[in-house]
Amino acid sequence: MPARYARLTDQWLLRGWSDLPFAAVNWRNGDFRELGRNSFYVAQACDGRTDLHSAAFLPRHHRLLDVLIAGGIAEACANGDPVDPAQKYRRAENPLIRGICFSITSRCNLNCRHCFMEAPSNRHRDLTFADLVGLVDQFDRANVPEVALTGGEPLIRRDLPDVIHLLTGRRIGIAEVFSNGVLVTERILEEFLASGHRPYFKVSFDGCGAHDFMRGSRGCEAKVVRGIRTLREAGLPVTVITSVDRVSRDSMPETYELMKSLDVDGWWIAPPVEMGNWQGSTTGLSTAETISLCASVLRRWAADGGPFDLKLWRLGLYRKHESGEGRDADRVGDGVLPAPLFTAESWNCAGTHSRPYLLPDGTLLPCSGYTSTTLAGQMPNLLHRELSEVWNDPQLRDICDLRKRDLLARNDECASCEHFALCGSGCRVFALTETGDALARDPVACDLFRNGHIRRFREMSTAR
Amino acid sequence: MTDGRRQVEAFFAKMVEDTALRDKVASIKGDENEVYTRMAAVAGEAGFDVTVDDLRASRSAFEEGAELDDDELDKVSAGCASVCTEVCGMFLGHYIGRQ
Repeated sequence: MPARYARLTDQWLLRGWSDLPFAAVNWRNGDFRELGRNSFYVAQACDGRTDLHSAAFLPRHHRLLDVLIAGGIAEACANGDPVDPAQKYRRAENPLIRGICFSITSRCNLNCRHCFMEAPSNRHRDLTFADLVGLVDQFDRANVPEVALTGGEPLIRRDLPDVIHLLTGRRIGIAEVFSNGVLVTERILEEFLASGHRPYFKVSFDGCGAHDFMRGSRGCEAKVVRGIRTLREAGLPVTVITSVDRVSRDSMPETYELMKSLDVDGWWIAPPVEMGNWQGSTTGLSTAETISLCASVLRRWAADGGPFDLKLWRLGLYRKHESGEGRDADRVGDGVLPAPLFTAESWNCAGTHSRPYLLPDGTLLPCSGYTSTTLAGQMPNLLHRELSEVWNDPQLRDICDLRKRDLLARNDECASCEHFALCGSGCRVFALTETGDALARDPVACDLFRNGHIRRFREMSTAR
Repeated sequence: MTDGRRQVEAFFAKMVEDTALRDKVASIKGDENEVYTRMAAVAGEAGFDVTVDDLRASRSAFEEGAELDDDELDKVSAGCASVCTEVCGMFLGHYIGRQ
């Protein structure tokens, strides 16, 4: 049998963690494949120098090689073709981290009424570039494949191009950028694109005619709209995130039309979270008001053919309708993302389990929602400790490894509830902030499911 | 499964974690008999009681049967996706992965 050589295609890396020993990760687009022992054996041999037709490989391995090549993870090559050393298998002795929401600054050019970070007070201090290098090195050692950049306002950092290059050099993808959109320029976008990153931009915009008031800065509405247009012209995907209250809610119809004209990929609407600057606010919407507002947006969206992805607070994530497709309510995924069904063995939260949030003072949180809670003070700090070590920290793991069975054991009502498979006892942050007990059932989720609001919204999303 | 087959399976499992051993086997050249003879010797040096006949028989069995389970193929073929659900109350600033 003639010799056969292969190598991983250049965006794929072989990585392992203590709880998931073998995986192939595409650090550019976030694709992630758990590998069995046999497929790992073959993938590891895709090094440009190992003869895959030698005695060390069986027919089963040849089949797996065909699968890897068909999937674009590997490619045939000649003996000795070069391979990037960074692709070589590396195992971190910490549990899996799929990504980190990385707050690279607490500074901001705006003064938002609802900022959960209380920027620009800089109360979470700021990271020097040397700090950033140290943190990114930790990410690398812990096999973190990607980050989402946030702040404060991440684009405010003058050294952002250096941050981009730093991450690129470590083969860490930039999956998303959370931004107020005001500082978006062609020049900074070119820095992302030239380094091969195409992050999803999540841009904050709080309503036509209301945005400047919400953001505490005159003239920023026009700048944000310009920023979104610049992003779209650069071919970058954009989701607009709108915080809504009694001041801005009447602007939603006009804002909806703006979202269409800007050709955004997604629009997310929710009231601000009760933390940071928003605590004590008097213009917040009640649950009933939020539901009413979201219902009117959803009806308009459905009648309009679902022009973009739509996430309405905690009432559902609705997929853009492709033009020309029918809206048969029986078609899987039509207008509604297929929701995962929770069981007792499900992780409490897939995000918390493997996608922590890093504050600019180095505090590592399971979720950004814990920022202003008492829990934050108990969490480890990466400016003083190593990520690989703290990700094994029992206190952090108690939260990250929480399973639904732990909640069922604490909440008899959930154990017998018909909605548990979709609700899963709700969000732990809401449970903590609403009841003081992070393991309690989430009263807001309870209301939304038991009073039929979720069901009603799903029906509305497919209505003609 | 015969003892010999078990030893062959264990030997291949060892090569998953020992790339030097894998490379040693991969570098064996010659006709089929020479390759199996040398491979059995390498397996013996690594602590596995494997004969040339075991290797010949196991390879035939491997070629005849479907030795891969569907789960192994599924894991490679399917990507993993993060899913945001209704229950997430913290999407403002919460990273829910690629859309």
